[in-house]
Amino acid sequence: MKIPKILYINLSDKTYFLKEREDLKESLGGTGLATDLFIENVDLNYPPLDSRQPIVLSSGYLTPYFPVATKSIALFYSPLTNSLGESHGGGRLGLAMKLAGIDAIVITGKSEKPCYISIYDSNVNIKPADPIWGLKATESATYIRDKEGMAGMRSILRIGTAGEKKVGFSMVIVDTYRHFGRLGLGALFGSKNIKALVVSGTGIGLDRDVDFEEYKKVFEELHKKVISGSMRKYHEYGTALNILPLNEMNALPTRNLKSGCFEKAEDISGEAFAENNMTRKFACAGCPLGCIHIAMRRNKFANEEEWERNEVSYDYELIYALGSLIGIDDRQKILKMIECTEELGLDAIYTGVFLSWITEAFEKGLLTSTDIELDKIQFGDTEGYMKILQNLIYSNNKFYSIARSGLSELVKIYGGYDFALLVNNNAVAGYHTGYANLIGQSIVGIRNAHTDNAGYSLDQEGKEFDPKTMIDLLIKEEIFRAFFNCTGICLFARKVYDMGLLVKVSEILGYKIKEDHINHIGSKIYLKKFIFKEKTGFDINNYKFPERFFETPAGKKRLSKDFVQEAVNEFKIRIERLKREYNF
Amino acid sequence: MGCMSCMFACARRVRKSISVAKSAIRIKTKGGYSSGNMVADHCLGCEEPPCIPFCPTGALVKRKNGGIILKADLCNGCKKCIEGCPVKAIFWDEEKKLPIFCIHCGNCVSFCPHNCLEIGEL
Repeated sequence: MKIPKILYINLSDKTYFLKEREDLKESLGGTGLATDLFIENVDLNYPPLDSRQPIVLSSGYLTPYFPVATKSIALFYSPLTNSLGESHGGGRLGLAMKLAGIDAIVITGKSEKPCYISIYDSNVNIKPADPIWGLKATESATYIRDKEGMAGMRSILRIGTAGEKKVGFSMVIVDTYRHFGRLGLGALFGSKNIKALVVSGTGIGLDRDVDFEEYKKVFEELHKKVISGSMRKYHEYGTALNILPLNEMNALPTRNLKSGCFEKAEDISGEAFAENNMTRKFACAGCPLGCIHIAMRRNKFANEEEWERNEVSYDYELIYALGSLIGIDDRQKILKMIECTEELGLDAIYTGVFLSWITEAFEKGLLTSTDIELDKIQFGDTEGYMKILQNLIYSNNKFYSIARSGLSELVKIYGGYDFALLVNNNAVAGYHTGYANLIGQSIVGIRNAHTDNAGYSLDQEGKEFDPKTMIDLLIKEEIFRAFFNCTGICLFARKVYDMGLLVKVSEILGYKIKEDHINHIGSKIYLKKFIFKEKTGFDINNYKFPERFFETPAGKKRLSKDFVQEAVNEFKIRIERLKREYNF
Repeated sequence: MGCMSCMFACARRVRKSISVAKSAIRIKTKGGYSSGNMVADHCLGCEEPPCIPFCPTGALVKRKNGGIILKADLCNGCKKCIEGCPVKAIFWDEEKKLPIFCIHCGNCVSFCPHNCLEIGEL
């Protein structure tokens, strides 16, 4: 195993050092390494946005050595859920960290003034960011690009004004079109006065002593497999291709999940975007496939017919959250909403859930126009939603001051919990497919994200699972993904890299991992995070679901609370058994 | 689209390295991803290579049909050729302490998954 090199940065005293952590060799990289670094640096005596709390960034241990190994992982104490925050990002970050000779970065402390962090070959410069504090995320990136070198071989992370204002669901943008989107990393950056972070390096140390002929052979086989196999669909239409099938199965959350079927789904489908709006595709560094779909938004920025074109990336989740969920059926308007979240630096999924809750709360009379500082709001009102998002950042009235902490705080004051689409205070992804999705995100899933264990995918197999089998399958997938996310391989390629291949590519790079050990590694990572969640208040015996998940049929049927309770009971048994097995 | 498959291919096939930093072609955005375009920095195979006069040791030799050949044993690692390339297509191998030049072999083209690159006779 390679000894990971960790770059520690303390913003309070402007110090940094690189440390080789032989004791963390078994943590591999990605989520495994990030978990250990996070747990040893977080301090539960202080709140998530206290300057002592760490931001951990970790590159996958296979990044960027094999095709589609592109990911890096962020771990932090989430200000949104007051629990474990984990987000996965692509772009060039994983590659750039390796070019700099760094496997992971731990940032603590707080800069006295707005700053951006420039890392080159493990040398750190903390530079003033006063000129870009208050600017859109997009504008601040232009500033950094002009100031820093190594174009093409660097990664630029930045926040928008949402992060500066410490909005609980603010994100960090990675290289324009990728994100650490979920659970509020943007607020962590803002709390430390970090506007941006740029990483690059000469690449010294990137070369390794390997069986080169074997490496070349395996790399080139994988390259062919990726570009010619089942992954092609991600390049052609991207995840947006899921809009129509999910709508067909009545699982596309619409108008705050009052329904699972959007009557204008065809207009906002992946096919419609591809035929009418798509202008190009991008890829993360090291992915020959390229699943980042870009569409052109025509913007009339002033009167007198003054137009510009803006390039906006779209995906299934964004079309769901900023389309069907808030009743917008016009592709240009959806792109406008996406662009707005990009500029402000807000998690698009959470933003959609937030806006759809406000719309229904206003309909039901729980909110007034004084609260939202708008005459009225109704589903589909793009201009109204844009105004609400501006108010979220800049208004200091009671409603928006609370809203910046997230929906879970709003419902305590204004009510409406039962139609707030939250699981453990995180916003749900766009799959109202059935039990596996709901239980997978809320109970089994560590981050309360759909990609934790892909319950939505299990539901779509169309089989009737009993609670015990379903829990077994979800935990099995969650544990496998806990290991898989150490590698840095994108989850889209999980079927390309079967167990045998994972062992082989690891071995080529000097990581001796036996196939039957993968489950062991994944289980330990999963348990470490689960224990952290429990310590921060997750109580499976008192878990409450919003009623909306049961009111609106998931797929073709209504979900039964009895079934869910049985599944929760099964999970309790399984997790306790797992803890005993691994002495946790 | 910025996948860097060409760069990985160059490093792997030509430099026999697993380090993408060894590539003689570099892909970058034309002013950020949102500009909507990518550009490739690579040797243009000049008939009269402007980098040659910058070399103080005679390590660069004109290549037939354009471009240059590096005589590594004559190179003193001064990096002046890098300054001399007007299209910034000469890179640096930090480990070997030698400049990285394109040899016009076309390996990068054959690994481009989306036909963005092509090679032909001049």
